[in-house]
Amino acid sequence: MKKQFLVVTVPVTNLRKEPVEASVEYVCDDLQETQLLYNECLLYKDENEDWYYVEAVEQQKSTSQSYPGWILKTSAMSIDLRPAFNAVIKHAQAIILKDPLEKAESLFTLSIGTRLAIEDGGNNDYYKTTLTDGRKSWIRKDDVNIPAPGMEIGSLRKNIIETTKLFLGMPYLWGGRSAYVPTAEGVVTGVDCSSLTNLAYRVNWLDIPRDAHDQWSASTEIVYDVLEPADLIFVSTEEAHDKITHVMMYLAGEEFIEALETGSVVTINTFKNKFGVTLRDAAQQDFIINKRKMYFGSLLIAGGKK
Amino acid sequence: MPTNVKIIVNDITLEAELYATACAKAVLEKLPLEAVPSKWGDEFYFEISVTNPLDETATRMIKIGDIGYWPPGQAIAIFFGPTPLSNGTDPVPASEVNIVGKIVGDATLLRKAKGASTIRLEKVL
Repeated sequence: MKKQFLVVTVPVTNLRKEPVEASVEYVCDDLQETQLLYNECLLYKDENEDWYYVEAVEQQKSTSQSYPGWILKTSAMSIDLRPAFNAVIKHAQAIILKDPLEKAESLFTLSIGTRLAIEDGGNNDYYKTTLTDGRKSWIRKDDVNIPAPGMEIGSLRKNIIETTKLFLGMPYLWGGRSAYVPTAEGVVTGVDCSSLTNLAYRVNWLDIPRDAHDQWSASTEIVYDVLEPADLIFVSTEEAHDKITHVMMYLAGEEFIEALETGSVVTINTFKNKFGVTLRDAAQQDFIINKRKMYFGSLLIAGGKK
Repeated sequence: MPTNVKIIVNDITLEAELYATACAKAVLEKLPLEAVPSKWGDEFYFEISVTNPLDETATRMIKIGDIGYWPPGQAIAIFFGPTPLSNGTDPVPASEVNIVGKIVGDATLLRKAKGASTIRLEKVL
């Protein structure tokens, strides 16, 4: 049977474990799976009166499995062909304009990480893009990232870090995966630990898994003294050292960036401040701190697990 | 019906086939093609002037020897081993690719060609 796809038609929407609307407050809601951005493709599975049951094909658990969940029907529409996206919003927010002019009417605002199909359109400063409802619109060229095949890995690491720093100060939201957009009516925006890293890589054209544990599964394990910017630091639960529930992005030296917990914002932190020991001292403890185990992984080098 | 092609990198020549999908046919129309390959783990990729959306073959479940087309970067990807996103021996692309063909034979021979400055794809006449 031919696969049927949907596409998200609102700036940000929630993917729910059950067909129940999300809270509009910053709470830890167990029914919240993740968030979906405008233009994100979904594989249709089922529906009821107001909701579609879908798989978020751009948010993997593994290469063969995507995030399943419920999305409001008012947030998505059916498509015959999957669009050929060739640009992704690289700033925290970007405005979609009616015309290629600085003072043009603003149609709506989209979050960092939103993918678009753009055309040159013959303008020096703006790309033309077609909206999900067929309207032509424009976006500033400086707001998007175009794939750059062959980019040197050092530049890629630098770009991922620059992207991640754009999230500093944004609120933590369990199951969030978006930056604040004024036109996301009735949807709370924010990021959790793994959507922070997921979006930072997505903006740089690498689709890494959505969850911390799955990001660890996809990573090549590395030792702490070869950590480079944009590598990931994983933290296990106290009960099971093979179960990863937190991820942070390594910056340099003793610093990393993380989205920690409900009530906090994305911040830069140090090992000493967070764990009470420096990275080198943590090594002396086999990286077991307060009963949790810390691991280091890279999604930018091949090698797999030991 | 697949079309037979050759992939030539340095002194390595591999036989491959391109499938009969619209995307694969668009690639075929651009042959012969010579490009500078970039390397990402055990994957070569290079640009091709083909514009095609993700189609019914789109996947991230890749096998060694698969030939993919990556729409965002308008690039061909040739997979011959694990990439940085792999957690086993299978390659994992940066994001979904259309499968447009496969290498017939031992694709891992391309590991000997890492650092190659050109890659050539041509039809088998």
